[in-house]
Amino acid sequence: MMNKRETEELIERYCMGQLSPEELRIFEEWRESDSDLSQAIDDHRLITDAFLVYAERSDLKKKLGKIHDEMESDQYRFQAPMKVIIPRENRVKLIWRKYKLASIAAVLSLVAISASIITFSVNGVSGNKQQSAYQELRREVERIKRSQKALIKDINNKQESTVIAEGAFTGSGFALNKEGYVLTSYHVVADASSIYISNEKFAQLKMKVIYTNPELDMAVLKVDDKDFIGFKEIPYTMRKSVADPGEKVYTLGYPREDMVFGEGSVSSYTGFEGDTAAYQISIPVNPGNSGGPLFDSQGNLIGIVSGRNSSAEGASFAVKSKWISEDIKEHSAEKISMPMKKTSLGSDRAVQVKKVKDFVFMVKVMN
Amino acid sequence: MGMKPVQGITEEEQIRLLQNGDENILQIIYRQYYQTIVQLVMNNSGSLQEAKDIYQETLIIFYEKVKDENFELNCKLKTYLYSISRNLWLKQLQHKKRFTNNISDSEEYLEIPWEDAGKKEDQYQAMHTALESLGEPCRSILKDFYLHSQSMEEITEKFGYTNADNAKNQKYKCLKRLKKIFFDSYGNDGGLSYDE
Repeated sequence: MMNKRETEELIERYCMGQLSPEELRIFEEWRESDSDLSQAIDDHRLITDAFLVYAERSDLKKKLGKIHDEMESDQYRFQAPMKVIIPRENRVKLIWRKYKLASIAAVLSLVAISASIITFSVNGVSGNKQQSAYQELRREVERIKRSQKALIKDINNKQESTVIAEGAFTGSGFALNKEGYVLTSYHVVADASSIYISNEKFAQLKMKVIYTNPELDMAVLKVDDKDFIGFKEIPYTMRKSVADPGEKVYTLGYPREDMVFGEGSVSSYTGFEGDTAAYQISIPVNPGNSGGPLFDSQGNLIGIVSGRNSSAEGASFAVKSKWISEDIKEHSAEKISMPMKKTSLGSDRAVQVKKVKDFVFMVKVMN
Repeated sequence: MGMKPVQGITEEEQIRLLQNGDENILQIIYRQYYQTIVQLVMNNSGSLQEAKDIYQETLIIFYEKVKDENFELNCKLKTYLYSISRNLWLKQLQHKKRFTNNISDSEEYLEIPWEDAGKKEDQYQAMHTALESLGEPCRSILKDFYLHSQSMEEITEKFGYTNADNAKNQKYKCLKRLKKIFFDSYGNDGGLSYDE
């Protein structure tokens, strides 16, 4: 009689198809007459199968984990906090290298801070004034160029390859209606080859441009995905009356990869250089805030953040929602309904933000 | 049916590529349907992390099914994946008793019993636990023999046994222990090792 180990070896060779015809014949006869053996064979098969399944799944899980991480880091790259408007001819290549992140981040923040751009709503701005704003900008850009050259040199000295990415910009935007229309600043999406929006709720939605008005610095986008089923009911309404100086206001936007709340008040009925289509507001905004919604204390939409004054600290501008809705109504080929929620959001700001945040997006643009 | 092109290739082609072990197609598919499943789970009281887990589990089940040569996709890939995820999430919700059986759907889905869907994951978990508690050198010996198809001679040498018979004996003991731990936690009705 065989011992256990020999029997197990025989079972194994049987399962692996290694028995000789003679052995096989005897083994099968034995198997039919012995239910314990039959059970042992089934167990052996089950455990070796489970072992294989385990190995395959482990492998696959690793792969999927990697795919997911890559997807997220791509999105992160997309979301990198930089939106800088630079005249075409001065546009500099931006260098991205993960392992040089610290120094790059330093350069990028220099870009973000010093390139004070910041687009102005052009209505009523004289050509001269605009010129001077841009001159100042160019000077700043020269400085950045030098820093970047230094960085490139540093990288070159180490003889490592560099990845140069051109034209990844981000801004903010918000939903206008359930059908997937989103409002953002024109300068955020100008020259875009592809546009995506994202927030906590939506990882990535492809957008197309429906209507723009550069003078009001506004653009209407629409979700470009035939599987998109629509947003939920828009929780805010567009306020018809003009906001007065002193009114408390706030904005939500994406100056970085997470949504940031910023508050202040209306400083003036008019925007940059007396622009009547915009308010001046006292919210400190950063590149990336452009296109974000401006809400009053009741959570009503009163404007869209469009830029700031590079020479005056804390002076930002928002285009009045009334101008935007009237312009869209008058000039857009597509009928685009404005947010008109009847019920109030209440006066608790934290509650308002909670209700509204899913409708505010980061707008990511590739040129 | 199934003709929706993703990055220029039809769903049939995607599945063929997947069957042929094309690595890139998995990434394309992953990115294509991620959002749909995130919406499904998050609209039904799940977190983003749970959505990610459900989605990856869905793709594993899908991948294992596709590996079967007889696999045929009779609906849109999106519907298929959505249906798997839906079942997995429903099962998890019931398990957690978060709520009973009402899922708010954003997609069409198929009412198909995914009888072995959860079973394989249970098997995977049982094997994972078993291998963890099995320890070394058993784990490596079994992996080398059953997964990497190494011969007993190679294993003898690698693990420094004086002869192949010692190695065989060690492997036998390892497998016996693995069977015991695995069947204990997997709760199989079998689990008899052969006794004379």
